[in-house]
Amino acid sequence: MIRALPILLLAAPAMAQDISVQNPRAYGWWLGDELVQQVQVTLPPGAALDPASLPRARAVDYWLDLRAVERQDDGNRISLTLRYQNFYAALEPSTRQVPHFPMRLMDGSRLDLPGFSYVTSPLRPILAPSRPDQLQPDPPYHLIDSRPTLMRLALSGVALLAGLLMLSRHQGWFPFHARAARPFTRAARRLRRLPEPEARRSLHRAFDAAFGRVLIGADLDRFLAQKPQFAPLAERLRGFFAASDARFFGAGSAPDQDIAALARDLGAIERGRR
Amino acid sequence: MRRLLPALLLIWVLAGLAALAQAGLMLWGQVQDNRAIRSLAAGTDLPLRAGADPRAHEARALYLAWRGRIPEAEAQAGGLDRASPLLQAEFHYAIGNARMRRAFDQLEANRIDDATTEVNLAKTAYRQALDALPGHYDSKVNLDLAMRLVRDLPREGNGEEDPEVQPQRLWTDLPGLPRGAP
Repeated sequence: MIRALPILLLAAPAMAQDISVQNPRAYGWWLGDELVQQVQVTLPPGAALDPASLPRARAVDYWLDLRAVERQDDGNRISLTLRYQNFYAALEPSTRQVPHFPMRLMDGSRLDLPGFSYVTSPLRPILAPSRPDQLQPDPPYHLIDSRPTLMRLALSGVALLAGLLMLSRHQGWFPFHARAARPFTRAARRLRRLPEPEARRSLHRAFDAAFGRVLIGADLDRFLAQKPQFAPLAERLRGFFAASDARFFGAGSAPDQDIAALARDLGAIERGRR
Repeated sequence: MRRLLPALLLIWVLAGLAALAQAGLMLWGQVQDNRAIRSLAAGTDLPLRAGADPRAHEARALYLAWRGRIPEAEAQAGGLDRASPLLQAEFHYAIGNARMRRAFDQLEANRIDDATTEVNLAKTAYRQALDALPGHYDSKVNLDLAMRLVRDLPREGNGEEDPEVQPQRLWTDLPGLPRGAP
């Protein structure tokens, strides 16, 4: 016995911790109710809780389950939330005692999680018969509410339509293919089917529309200064205007050009594709 | 930005198309599941599609449990993994009710031992229902009824002791006596 004494002293509860407990209310519990106990432990500096000694979710007794144990650490302060569930089928109001729980610190000292008591009451009169007709009925069938999915379908449809409209507006596709603001795109589409002089005239109309007034070869630099995005095509534009002067007014000579390709490139720049 | 815009718009359109297709598939699945639930509620069994909604699995479990086909009903549990706590509670509660109905039949036939086993299984089902949703009152009432038929009793041995908080044994129960051979 004397030899055992130092070991017993080692296992004595440490006094330095500070424990505060919020117990569930002491009265008014029924079968199956969840009771939540919250414990805050402040450990002395340098001390740590042995994680293996924490209570585990389990059946504490035939009438009590420990459903979950949640732990939160904040420096030396440990918050434990213990979720119990009462399964005592009382015939009359009865006090149940939840036992305390011993935990250990890493230095071997003990730390007691305090227990608590509560009163659980019967759900049914004591003389209520236990017959099949006393059973509560089976649950109802649940249909799936499709309205949120329908709403989602409608929203996706609207988003798709909006995207398509914006894309076709940007690209000058139907129903925006006749927009005046895209004269080159429109000309490129039209002059594919036209012979040379008409195609040339058509592209000139597009230049006039883009410039805001009639554009002649001499004004080309002003046009390029106004719309610098067409500058990469400057040489081909000069060639196009020189060829027009040669063809319409017999002024000088210029090589033939692929007007459709030029119109396509102008249209692409106009739509921001280059 | 001006050059990026067509690509962005194209991505928008493709994303809209994908969302539309997904919502359409989902709606189609829900229509199928609702048809199955209506049919089961009306008393006609209908196999469920793969990946059916948890509510369809619950409906099939209710259909089977009401007809006493308990193992088949329990097999629907796999489809209820993602279900809400209420649905899970109702599933276990329906199984518990089926077991209670069977137990009452066995009591009527004076098969007391079989009935006791069935009531204990029903209690387990009701406890699972309350584990999923502690506020499920129908489960509470029926568990109370089952408990009055077959009471829970303290465990064997010292009864009230939690196995987790047994006092630490510092010594072995039987101190070993050296028994060396001569």
